[in-house]
Amino acid sequence: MKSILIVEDEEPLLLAIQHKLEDAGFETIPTRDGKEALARLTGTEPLPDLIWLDYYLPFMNGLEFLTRIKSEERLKQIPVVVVSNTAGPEKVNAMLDLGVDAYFVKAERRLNDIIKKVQSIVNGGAKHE
Amino acid sequence: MFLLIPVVSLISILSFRNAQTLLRERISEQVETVISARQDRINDWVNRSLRLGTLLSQDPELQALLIRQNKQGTNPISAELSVFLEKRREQYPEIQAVSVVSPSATASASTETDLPSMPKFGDGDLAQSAIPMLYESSGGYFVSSRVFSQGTLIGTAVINLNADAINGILKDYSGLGGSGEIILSRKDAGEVVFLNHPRSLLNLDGQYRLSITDNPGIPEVLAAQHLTGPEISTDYRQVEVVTAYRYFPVMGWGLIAKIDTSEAFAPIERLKLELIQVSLLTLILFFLVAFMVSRSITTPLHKLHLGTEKVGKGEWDYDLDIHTGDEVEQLADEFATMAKELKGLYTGLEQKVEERTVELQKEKDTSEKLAQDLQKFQLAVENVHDQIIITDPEGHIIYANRVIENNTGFTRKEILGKKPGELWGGHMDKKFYARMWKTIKEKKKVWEGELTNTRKNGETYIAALSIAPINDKEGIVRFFVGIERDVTVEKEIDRMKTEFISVASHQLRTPLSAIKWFTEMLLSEDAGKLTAEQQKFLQQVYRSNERMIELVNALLNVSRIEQGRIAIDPKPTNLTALVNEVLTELEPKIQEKKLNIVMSKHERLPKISVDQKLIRQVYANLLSNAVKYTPEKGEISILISKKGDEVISQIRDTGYGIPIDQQSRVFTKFFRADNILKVSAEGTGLGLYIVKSVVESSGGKILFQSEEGKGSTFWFTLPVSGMKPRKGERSLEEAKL
Repeated sequence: MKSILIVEDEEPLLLAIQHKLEDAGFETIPTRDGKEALARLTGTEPLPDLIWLDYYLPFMNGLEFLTRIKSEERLKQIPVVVVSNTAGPEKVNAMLDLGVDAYFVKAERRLNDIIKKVQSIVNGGAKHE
Repeated sequence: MFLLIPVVSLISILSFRNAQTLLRERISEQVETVISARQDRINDWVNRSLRLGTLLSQDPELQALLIRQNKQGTNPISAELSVFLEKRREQYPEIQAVSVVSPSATASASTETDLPSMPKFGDGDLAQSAIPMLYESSGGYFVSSRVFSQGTLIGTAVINLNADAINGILKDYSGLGGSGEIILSRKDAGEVVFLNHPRSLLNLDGQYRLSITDNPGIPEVLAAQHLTGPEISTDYRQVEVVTAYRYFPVMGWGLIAKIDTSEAFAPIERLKLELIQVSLLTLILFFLVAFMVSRSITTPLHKLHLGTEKVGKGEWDYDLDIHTGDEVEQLADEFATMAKELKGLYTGLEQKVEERTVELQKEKDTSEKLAQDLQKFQLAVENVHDQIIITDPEGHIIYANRVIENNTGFTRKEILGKKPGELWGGHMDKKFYARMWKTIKEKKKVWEGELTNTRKNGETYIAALSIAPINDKEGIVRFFVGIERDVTVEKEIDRMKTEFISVASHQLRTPLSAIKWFTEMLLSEDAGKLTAEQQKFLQQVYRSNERMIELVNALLNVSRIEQGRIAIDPKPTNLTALVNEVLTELEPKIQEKKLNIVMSKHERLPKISVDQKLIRQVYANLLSNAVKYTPEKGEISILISKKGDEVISQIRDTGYGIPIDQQSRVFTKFFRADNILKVSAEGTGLGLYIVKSVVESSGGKILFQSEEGKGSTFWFTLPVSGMKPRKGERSLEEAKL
């Protein structure tokens, strides 16, 4: 079963994402901030097949988390999908430059649309939205 | 001469100070010497007296008499002892009286009939000691010594000393002038007792006593407590004195020697007086000489001055009459020559002046007329709340109304004739002012803008300013009138409001996302099958939430626009294509209402460089309004044309129109017209506000015409030159159509 690491600090949103992903047949690893997510990524094998990342997070924001992931040889191959309540174009561009596979604004998107994108990425689909 | 006065004064002051210090030191030394000598003499006397005690207690005859008495009981030999004691008294003049007491104090003998001032011995070490003890009691001095025989106490001898010797020492005022005193004092419970009667207490009966708590800093009181005070202090008579302190530890006596400062420092006071007299005399002399010298110089100068005045008035041949034989006379001669030359020049000039006067009168009339107009204007504006200044064409202030003193902190006197840039202005970049001057001076148009200024106290403020050039008949700028208002507070409130909306909107988005997603999950039957009615209800929830999201997006856009945070990223754009995109999105609603769309455009419409997202939003808002507020089967026409250096977009509908009394509020935030509120409750009232903000920040203008029940037409312009790129934080949220 493919597994997805979710980084989302808002409990209701995390619940919805988790529920929807599990329905779609994924195994989910829910985390509430970048630190917790990093802890889940160190040492444990196998690595998740995708990271679902929020931007506004406690301790470190999505961009900082992403920078850490992409600087580690072991982790940088994991595809990342950012799902956030708007971030400025510079931040979005910076994340896309680091190798984000898709970027979504939460309130603007149906969850189903995002899940479809996730499925296509995990199943070796095209990169970037 | 002028230098001499301060130098002399300085030297006198310095030497006076020096003498004062020296004298003070010398007096202190002297008092110190006196007290040292007295201390030595008192110590000598004490030691001599104590030796007398030792001598007596070790006298074998006394010991034998006491042993016998102790064996035989009550006082049988007091007569023999008395004889012995009398003998010793006669032998030593220091002894005034002497007594002996048995250890049990049952028997005693004395040279006196009653035992004078017999001391009470305690049970302490001193009472058991063989060492004699000297003490003062009720004005008498005593030496008591214990008599021992083979280690056993057999009696006590008490000598009442002749006080003449010590009183003699204390009365010896040599070295202390006419006012000096020496005082021996002792602490007695809460008081200090004087053991001797100094000069000023000669007539006192009994002992002089001072309460320690009431006289804490008095030297006599300090000395008895083994303390010292400042060299100069106030003594028991409340007189200022120079003092020296000593202390006799065993007896607990304090000794002071002192001399009144009034006597000690008398010589220096005399010196001061003399110095003042000399200084005054010198001053008077100096002024006398100075006056005489100056008179000899000023008299011819005064004449010269008088002469220049006369010549100035046109008396060219006035004789100066100065014969001092010095530079002044030379000056007077040269002056006379000059006056002669001037006379020639002046006659020619008069004619020219007359001609010019006529010309000037004409100009003056014009100016006076303007000045009168200006005066009326000043009267009108003196007390208004906005700051009003009038400058000449170069920007020099010639008038400012009263409020300027509050606004800028400068008084009106301070600013007249100066330029605002030298006072409160000049803080914007050069281009800003260059544009301003170009508008008012070259184009001769009214300039309006906001700028940052500084008050006199350094505080900066934001001012809304408009400047109007005032031209005369020939079209020449005569004055500028500037009307200014301090809008700092308004700006700050506006900023806070915008920031609040931004934060609140962000916070709203998270729960809105949660509602959206969970409703979506329910609707897609993730949590089980829904009945038709449940489906319908949830659709309502979903739609309402979507409206909420739209409102938050609009609020965020408004706050970004107002904070100047929108990024502008211009790209060459085909405006027609942009309109078509928007129309495609609106298609379902257009179909639903069976609206007729007419689209026309200028034949050679150029591509212009605009931010597509922003301009798309302008079209989207205007067109969706048109669709929303036009009843079924109505018509919407779009016309894009080019006129001069502007591209004009016109959107006309045959809709409900805007009531005339509400038209002035069309572009304000949250405005929705009454008539359309009845048609549709939906709508944020932010669309046209955003449209206006975007168009204006793109360098364009927007206007409209509307009649209720007939329809509305909106026009907006964009410069052909396109939008200027700007780095901002965010792009606008896209509106749902």
